[in-house]
Amino acid sequence: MDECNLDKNEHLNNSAPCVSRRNFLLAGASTFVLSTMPGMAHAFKLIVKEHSPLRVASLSQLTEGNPVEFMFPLDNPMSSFTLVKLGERGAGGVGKDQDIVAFSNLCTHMGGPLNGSYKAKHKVLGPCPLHLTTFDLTRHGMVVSGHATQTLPQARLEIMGDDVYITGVMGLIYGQAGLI
Amino acid sequence: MSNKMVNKSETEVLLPPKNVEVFTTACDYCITGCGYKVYRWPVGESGKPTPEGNAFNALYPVGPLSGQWISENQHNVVDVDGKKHNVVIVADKDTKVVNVGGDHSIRGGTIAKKCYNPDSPTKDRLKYPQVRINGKLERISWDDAIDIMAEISNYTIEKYGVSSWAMKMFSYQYWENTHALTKLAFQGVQTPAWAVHDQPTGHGPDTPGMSDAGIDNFSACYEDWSLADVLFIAGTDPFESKTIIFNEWILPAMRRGMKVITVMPRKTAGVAYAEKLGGLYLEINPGTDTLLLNAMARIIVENGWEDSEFVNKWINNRAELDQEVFQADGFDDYKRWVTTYKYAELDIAVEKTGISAEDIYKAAEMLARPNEDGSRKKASFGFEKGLYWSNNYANTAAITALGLICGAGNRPGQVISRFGGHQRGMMPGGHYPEHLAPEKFPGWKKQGIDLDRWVEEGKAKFVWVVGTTWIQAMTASKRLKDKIHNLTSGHTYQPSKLDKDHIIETFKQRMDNDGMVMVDQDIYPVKPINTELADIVLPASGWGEEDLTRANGERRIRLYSKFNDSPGESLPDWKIAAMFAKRMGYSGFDWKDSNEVFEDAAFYNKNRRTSYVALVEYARKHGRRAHELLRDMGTTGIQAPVRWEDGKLVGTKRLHDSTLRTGTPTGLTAINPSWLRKFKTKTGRANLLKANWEMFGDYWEFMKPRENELWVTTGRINELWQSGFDDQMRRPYIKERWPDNWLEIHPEDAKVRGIESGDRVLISNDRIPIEIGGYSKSEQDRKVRGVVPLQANADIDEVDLLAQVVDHQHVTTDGIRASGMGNPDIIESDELLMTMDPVERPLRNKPTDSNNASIPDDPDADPIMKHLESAIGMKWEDVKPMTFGEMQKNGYIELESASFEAVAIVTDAVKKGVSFTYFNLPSSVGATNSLAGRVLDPVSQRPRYKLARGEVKKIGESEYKHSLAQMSFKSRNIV
Repeated sequence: MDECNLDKNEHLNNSAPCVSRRNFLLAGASTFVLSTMPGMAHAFKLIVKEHSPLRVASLSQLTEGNPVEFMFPLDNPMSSFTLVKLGERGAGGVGKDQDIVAFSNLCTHMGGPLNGSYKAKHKVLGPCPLHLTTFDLTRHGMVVSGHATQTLPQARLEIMGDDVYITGVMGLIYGQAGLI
Repeated sequence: MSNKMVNKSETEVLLPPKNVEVFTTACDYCITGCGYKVYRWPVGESGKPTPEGNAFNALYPVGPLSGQWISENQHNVVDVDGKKHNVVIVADKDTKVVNVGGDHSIRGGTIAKKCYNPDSPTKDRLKYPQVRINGKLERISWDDAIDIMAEISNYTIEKYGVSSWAMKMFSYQYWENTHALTKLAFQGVQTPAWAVHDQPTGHGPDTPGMSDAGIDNFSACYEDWSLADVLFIAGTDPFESKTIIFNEWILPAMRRGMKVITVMPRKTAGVAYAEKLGGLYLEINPGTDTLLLNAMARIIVENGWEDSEFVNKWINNRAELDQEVFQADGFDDYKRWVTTYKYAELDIAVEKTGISAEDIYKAAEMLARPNEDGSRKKASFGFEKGLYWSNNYANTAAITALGLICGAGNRPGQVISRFGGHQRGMMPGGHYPEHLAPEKFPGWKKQGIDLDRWVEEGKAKFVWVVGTTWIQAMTASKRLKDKIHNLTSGHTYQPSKLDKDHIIETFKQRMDNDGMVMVDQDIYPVKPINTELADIVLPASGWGEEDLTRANGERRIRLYSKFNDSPGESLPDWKIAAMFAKRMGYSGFDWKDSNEVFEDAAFYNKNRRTSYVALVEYARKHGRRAHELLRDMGTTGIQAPVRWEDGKLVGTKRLHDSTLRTGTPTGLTAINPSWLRKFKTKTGRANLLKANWEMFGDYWEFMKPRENELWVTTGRINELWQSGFDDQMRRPYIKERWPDNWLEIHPEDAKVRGIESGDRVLISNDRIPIEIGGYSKSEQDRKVRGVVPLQANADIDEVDLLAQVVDHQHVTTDGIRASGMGNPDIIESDELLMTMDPVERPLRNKPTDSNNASIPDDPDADPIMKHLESAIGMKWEDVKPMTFGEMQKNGYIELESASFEAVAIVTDAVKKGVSFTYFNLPSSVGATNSLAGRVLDPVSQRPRYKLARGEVKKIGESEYKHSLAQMSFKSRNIV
């Protein structure tokens, strides 16, 4: 169990001490709780359970607006994520333009599959095929419109060379009773 | 490193262990009233994610639609008898009604965060009675607060009359509370100075064109919204404001092929999705619905697409009075009228509504054109405030007439109904004393007091406000706010020490010096009503803190269980009302608990739409308490009116249901009013009403935007409930989404004003029309408005007031004749009248029964709206003096200025020329409703909230423009 405070702007610049790449990759197997980020952190504690980094994409093959999907940490649909290069800065984004983000594909309303629903024009995931909820991928997965009771869980991404790694998940994924 | 360690438990969800206590309830918020369960257990324990380890018997992770997943916003820690307990509050996954399978909105889904928890933003709940001393609220005891209130109430009632004692209250926050409060006002004090939260009056139906047609405005059940072939929705998007009616009833039906036509100035998500599935979006200019609906009706009858079989059987074939404004003399008369009436012409509809002729024709065709085999499509009609709070009488009359000629109104999937806003929580405790209200409009029956004007005119000396923001909730409210400030916290006489006698004496002096004393009863500090203005602030308890009941939008009654302590010394509203009533010496307030109030109220309201007297009789027969019977019924509850037939309690699915089969009544009180199977008129047939434009057109022309201005219309959105007191202000998850008030503006309108999303804008208007005066004994008030001064009015010293004021030459049983009174225009041959109905018809004998002859017998009438309910039998000369133009001529209109601020959201979801904002956020700068004109509907005296115009200009950038942490500017209608 480890924990740190994180200034919002620092976080957005991806240079906060606790979640710097070095810290992330070097810290032991533990859970990061980023508890006092203004705005977001009031709403849901930025909970990051750390995993061994999993390579999920290669930078050179990512093109703006064309999402890729991956499973993490388990190889099942309850662990499905969409990773996308937004083309504009996103909260928690990585890469030169801080525009590479990844989110859980399970709608936090009732678990509807968001796979394949990315709208490049709006940088939004959704609408959920069940009840039409949409999520803003530039703003930590905030609900744009709809019914979800928490923001869409966001992946912690790291870049090493040309490789994009997922190292943890912020927020509770639909269906889970705890962090995965 | 943080010095605030986060508990390990917060990194995992707290699962309810096996065998925890479970309470059933329903959501506190919108009309839908979804069923919820509260799982409660002592702090320190937690369930396990295996079937044998938790109350859901679930193995985690659980799959989609399981209804067993718990997010962080569904958990809280509450006090139960002073001990800390966990609660998990989730939609009932097992329910087969309303929110089938545990579906929920974002509002109800996060309702656990509503509970009082001193370690959360709910910590500022009001906990103790307070009194304002030297401008600052200080704690006093309940005893002292009630003593002071009783003392000054007696003083003002005795000296200034009962109408100087006023109450402004929520109409919906549970039957036990509304019953006790209205019993106090109507049976105890017997004051006519009483109004509900959403209008300056509170009497008469909200959708009068519908009730005059004979249709109860909550006659449908939710299933009806899924049974139509074509659903016509006006003035609302259920996706945004009654989420689960959309999710569980409309959405699946659309996916099965139901087509939805929506009339709105905004293409919200539900509208966009309906359009995607083959529906039709009619992008209307605010306030022009009557013209659209009339034009559609004309197209239908011109093509012979009406449902003749239904019309022949179910429509009244004659009017009650000759020359009356609204009621048609049967279908033939309606057809003649609608095919010749200027304001049913397609060209005029196209010009004013901004909708193309093709779309208007297509809408009429979709609804009414018979299929090729001659069969008809089932059409239903649902509407809400965009329709009825812009042009109240005419819009509701027009949509009902359109629905009736399409064969809707009394069959499954063929209904005409409101969707609803808040839940149905009014259970009157007395009759509104209309004989004490001073106004009697020409030819018209008594009018209830307009409490805003009453206060502004200095007629109220004591006002008790319960659970409403009042000021921001009203139209053109700046004047009201300024006036209340001058009368209360801005008045010379202010208590200067915490001494009961001193406080009472000071308040009496204030009342004697044209001031007013105000009590506000609420659960939170509310700007400005109790933070700046009220003299005494009383802490109320609320949802989950008392066993309470009410009905949802399909008349479904549930028990809303108490499951936690209310904070401090706060008390349920019914108990506060009873304490005060007993101190005043009124009888009938000796209730021991909320169940006793519930049972008492049943017998007073046995013919009401939400009648449950059978439930109470059944309970008593079986030695049970009525609340406990309801508890047994859980989230399913029972639909009112509740009937006791063949030994069993039976709910009523829909009203006016020609397919309804009833059994043999068992109880003493047979619940079998004719309107269960027929329409709510004396004949059981519906009335077709002619919705004229003349009584509204002058106001619309005045209110429509001038150069550089935009329409400024208001409404609800999914994420927020009412004034945002729970969510927008105290739920961080929601507050980060909507940290401030906002204004949706079309990209072209934004561009010419240099406005981008995230900019802070000022919306202002300096020509807001407001109705003023009318309550003096001036000759004009007497003649134009029929004002009969009250004996209660201190400034009136005549002895026999009624005899002096009423000119018997001009009085009939129908009220005061306008001829020879007031403005000479009233008696001139009226070309407007001729335009509305140019054909001379032979005179007929009037029914001896005076007006309202087609309205049902009194036992079926709502106690609050009794005698104030209908415009049937009105003549144009009765209506005209109360139209905007006439009121202007008679000096009853003034122009005011107001403004508010908002964060711009540039979106093509809103029509060009129209802007949209949330209707009431006390946390914002300025009140959005303050731009809406305060000129009431001439017939129904209902406000026209949705019509405002203003200039919109950028005043800077908001902090959210470049933030990635708060507020989203993305399109909300991506489907």
